[in-house]
Amino acid sequence: MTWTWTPTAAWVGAIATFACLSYLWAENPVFRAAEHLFVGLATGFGVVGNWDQYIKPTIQTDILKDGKFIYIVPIVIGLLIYFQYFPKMSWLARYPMSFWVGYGVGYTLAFQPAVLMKQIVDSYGSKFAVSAKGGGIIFTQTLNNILFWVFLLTALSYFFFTVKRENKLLGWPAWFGRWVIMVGLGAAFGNTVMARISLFIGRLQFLFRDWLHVPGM
Amino acid sequence: MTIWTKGMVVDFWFIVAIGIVTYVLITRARAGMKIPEIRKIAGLEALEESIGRATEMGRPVHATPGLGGISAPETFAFFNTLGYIAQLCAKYDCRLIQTNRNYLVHSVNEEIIKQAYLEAGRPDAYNPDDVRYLSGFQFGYTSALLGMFAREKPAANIMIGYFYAESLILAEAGAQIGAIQIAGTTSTAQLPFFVAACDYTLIGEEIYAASAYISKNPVLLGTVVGEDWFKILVFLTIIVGTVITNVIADPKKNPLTSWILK
Repeated sequence: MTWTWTPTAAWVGAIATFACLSYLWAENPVFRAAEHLFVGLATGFGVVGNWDQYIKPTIQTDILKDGKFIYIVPIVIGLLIYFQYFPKMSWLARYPMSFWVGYGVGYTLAFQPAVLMKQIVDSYGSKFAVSAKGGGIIFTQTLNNILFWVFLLTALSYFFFTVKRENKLLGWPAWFGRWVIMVGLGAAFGNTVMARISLFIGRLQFLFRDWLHVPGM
Repeated sequence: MTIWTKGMVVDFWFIVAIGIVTYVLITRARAGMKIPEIRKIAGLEALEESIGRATEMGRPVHATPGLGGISAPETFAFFNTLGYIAQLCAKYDCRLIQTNRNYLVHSVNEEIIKQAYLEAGRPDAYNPDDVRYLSGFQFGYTSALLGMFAREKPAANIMIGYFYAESLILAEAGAQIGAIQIAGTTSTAQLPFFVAACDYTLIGEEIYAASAYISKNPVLLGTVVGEDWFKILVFLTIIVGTVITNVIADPKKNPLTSWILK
């Protein structure tokens, strides 16, 4: 399905675009209006979305229709958070918080660690790339493998926190590793700037094509 | 029936070993015994200076964990740093504005700041209105923060956590109002922007070491040192593995690989 802009929607979109971009000049009432509108809309969407997708189906379907009364327990735990507005009983609000923090730590430990050993094995594979046809060494690929290995080790050594920078054995790899990281970040910077420019071009296309109907856009 | 997944046995024992070594180091640190020190981290040295500057200028300090949720490890790094920031702000009588995108993180941050002001002996200085939930939407949060920057002009902007596309927008807005900016994230896509637009940047894992470094908390110190030893072990394993792989005739028969992936 393709989205077609009605004249009203295009005007609202264009005004909102200029209101947001006006921040580049200075903070001003037009930007402030757009900011508050944006935050208000986001909050409204959030409340309605939560009600429609989580709270209502849980109460109507899961608890009342399917009889999953166990769901009342997490609801009660969640509601305890509102006790922070009652100073004398605000200690009750700490229970859901400790539950969430505990859940967060547990979830991270259980599901987020990468398969460490496989990564180590993959990083010390053969450095010599051999041609499948003649059996000779492919120079560029071999150089690439060696550079990867050197950059990996030096960047890793930058993150040794118990080794002082003055250390003669591991000091210079850490120093070089910092440069390697900066070069990597520079490449990522250029890449992302290009992506941001494409977003800006998208906005210009909207303004010229969908709002102003400039021919040829 | 086996309880072991092929290729994960050494992984499992490696994590168990990290746990044991970390526990021993924490116990030693708690008992006041000597454990290796953590090297200086430039951005953290500037933390106290930036809060001191904000106090002198009579302007607030702003701190955010970015968009990470309650289960993000980066958010936990922020929690530890926030306690330290809030204590400094309470000590210097400097206003701290803390903004959030996640309502769970917001609740935890409220408690941390309240506790820090209590520990600093200034519970009266804690202002709940300065711990703000702005919006659950990425750019709703960003635009609200831009407005806040322009109106309240914080003199120090501390961004430690997980950030997405809003990183450069926030860092640029902070630079525009002349705030000292200290940022840190593990997001490799956003780090370049922080490096370019902020005064100090904590790169990747430095945000985890940061909380140990500033708090000198034995639990955190033991964790960072234990983890560091295993990083050195990984470093050496890669070197040994490379030597074996490139010396033996058939790299596929590397005994180290067979043992690691059994």
